[in-house]
Amino acid sequence: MTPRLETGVRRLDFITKGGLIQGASYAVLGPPGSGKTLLAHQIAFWHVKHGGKALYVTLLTESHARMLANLEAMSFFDASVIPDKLHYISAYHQLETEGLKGLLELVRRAARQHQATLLIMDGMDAAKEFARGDLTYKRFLQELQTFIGIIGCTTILLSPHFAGDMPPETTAVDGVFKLSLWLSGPRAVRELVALKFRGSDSLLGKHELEISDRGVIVHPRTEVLFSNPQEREEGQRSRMAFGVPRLDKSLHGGLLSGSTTLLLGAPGTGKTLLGLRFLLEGARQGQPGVYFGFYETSQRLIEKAEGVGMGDFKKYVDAGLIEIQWQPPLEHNLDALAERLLERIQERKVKRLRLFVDSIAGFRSATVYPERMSRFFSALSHQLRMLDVTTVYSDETALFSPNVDAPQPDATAYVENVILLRYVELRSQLYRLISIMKMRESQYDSGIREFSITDKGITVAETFESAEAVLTGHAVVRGAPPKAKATRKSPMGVRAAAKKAARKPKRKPAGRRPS
Amino acid sequence: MKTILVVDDELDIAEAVKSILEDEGYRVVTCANGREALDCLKDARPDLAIIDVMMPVMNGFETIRAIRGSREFASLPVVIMSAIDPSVRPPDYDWAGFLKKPFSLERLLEQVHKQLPPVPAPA
Repeated sequence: MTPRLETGVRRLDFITKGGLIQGASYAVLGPPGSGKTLLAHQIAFWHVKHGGKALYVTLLTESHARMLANLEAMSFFDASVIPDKLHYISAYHQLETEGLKGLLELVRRAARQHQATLLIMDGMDAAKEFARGDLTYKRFLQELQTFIGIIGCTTILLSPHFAGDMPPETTAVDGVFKLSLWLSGPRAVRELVALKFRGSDSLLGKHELEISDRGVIVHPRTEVLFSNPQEREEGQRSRMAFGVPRLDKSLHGGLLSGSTTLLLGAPGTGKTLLGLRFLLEGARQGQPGVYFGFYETSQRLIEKAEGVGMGDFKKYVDAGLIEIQWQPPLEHNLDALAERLLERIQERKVKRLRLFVDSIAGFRSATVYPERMSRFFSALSHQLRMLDVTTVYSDETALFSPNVDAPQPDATAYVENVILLRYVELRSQLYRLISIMKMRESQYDSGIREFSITDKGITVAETFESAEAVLTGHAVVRGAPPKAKATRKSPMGVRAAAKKAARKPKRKPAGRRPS
Repeated sequence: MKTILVVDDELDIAEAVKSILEDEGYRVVTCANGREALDCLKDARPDLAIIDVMMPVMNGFETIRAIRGSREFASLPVVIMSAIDPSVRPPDYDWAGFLKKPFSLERLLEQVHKQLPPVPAPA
């Protein structure tokens, strides 16, 4: 097996499936400010920290002092390894006086003298200009590669690169990583594109990149990270109830463990409360739960739960059985969110975990490639299933629309169950309705029922008989006079319907209750 | 100073080996094929030859055969440098060592030092 060189760059070694190949050469291309020098230094400091020796050769880039001053704030920076383990040389003078041959000779000698196991050459555009042609430059690269291959030294060549340009390095080296920095609206997006990686399988393609005082962090695309999904050995699946009797009855006991459910509804229909109820019911049965949300802080969620008869919610949060992971309202990275979620669940190492993601819109706003969403959620949901997690995602429909337009129309490809919450306007009042639209691998009751939220808790009524055609958004009162008469606004018709509705169990308008 | 003749049509390999062995204190002469190597033997008078097998004009096996047939250099130690192990199809002459391509620095120096002991570093 070919020896690998770990980079120390979080998740870059996932992309290369083990790290750079020892003795191979890599080009890191990118426009100024994209993080090339930072990435190379992060790898160099990691390498020397783990017993290697690195040689950093600069060619007409910023001075070594300036370069180091910019790196001092980085958590990986360690001045004590300079110059014994991490040695800097400026080779521009050699290049200017003796050309590529002189440069090659200088690098060869310095690499051997310092017993370098990692060579970084920064500012390769200067060498390219001296070559006066791609062929000469490629020849130089080939000679350099042969030499470093013999001495077993891994090499990273850094070159500025602009869109549309195809640098000669791309054909000569063993691997190419392209860094980019662009604007998606007001948001700056950094990306790493793995274009080529010889000698090993790798996750080629575009991955988002983050730069902080910890250096570079790569976020591999979730859908390629889990591109070879494993089948989980199905154990005995259980029913995961909401603790709302009529709803659980309609679900034939609850959601199947390990399943994925979409809780769809307009703002204020009670998605968050129903999701919290799902977590609370699990906690009461000793099952751990995670709330992964974007909008409300832990304190607000607890208050909200307490206001609707879920007074013991806080007790389970304090005991750690329910974990609230609130994502502050910042610019997020789609794959970083998935990593955070999965890492936390993997760390907990528990079975029958309940997860409520509130909501999919939080993920949607984090992506710069909306076309990825379906593949992303398929991969994420599958991974959660593998971890024996029962997931409920919430997502919003339009507040005022006669149609049920799911923001993620292809969501049915990755969710097994769909529960719809919606408003219906009837006799000048708003009512909440709940219905199960889909439940894979299980029987379910598709009846439309009234869904109420009071300070005593959440209830689902036996029926909603007073209205029909409610899913179209154009509810019609049962027993009302025909349409022609209705247009004459017969007071008797409405009154008759109201009388009938009054015979139903107590039902208060939705607008008067907490949501 | 001991002299080593490096024969390889891949000039990047010949140059890399030359650079390394010069640092080790040897004099190194490079040639791009067997014919060139035979022509420069008299001037270079090597103590060791490192010869690639697959080369244009005259390949490595033919070159070694010619060296063994010469009166003056018949006993010159030769290290064969190839991606294919010569023992798979043994040639009809002796060779002192084999360096499988691609090779590491350690393997190269091991083969050279077997024939020519390391040159002590100047005090």
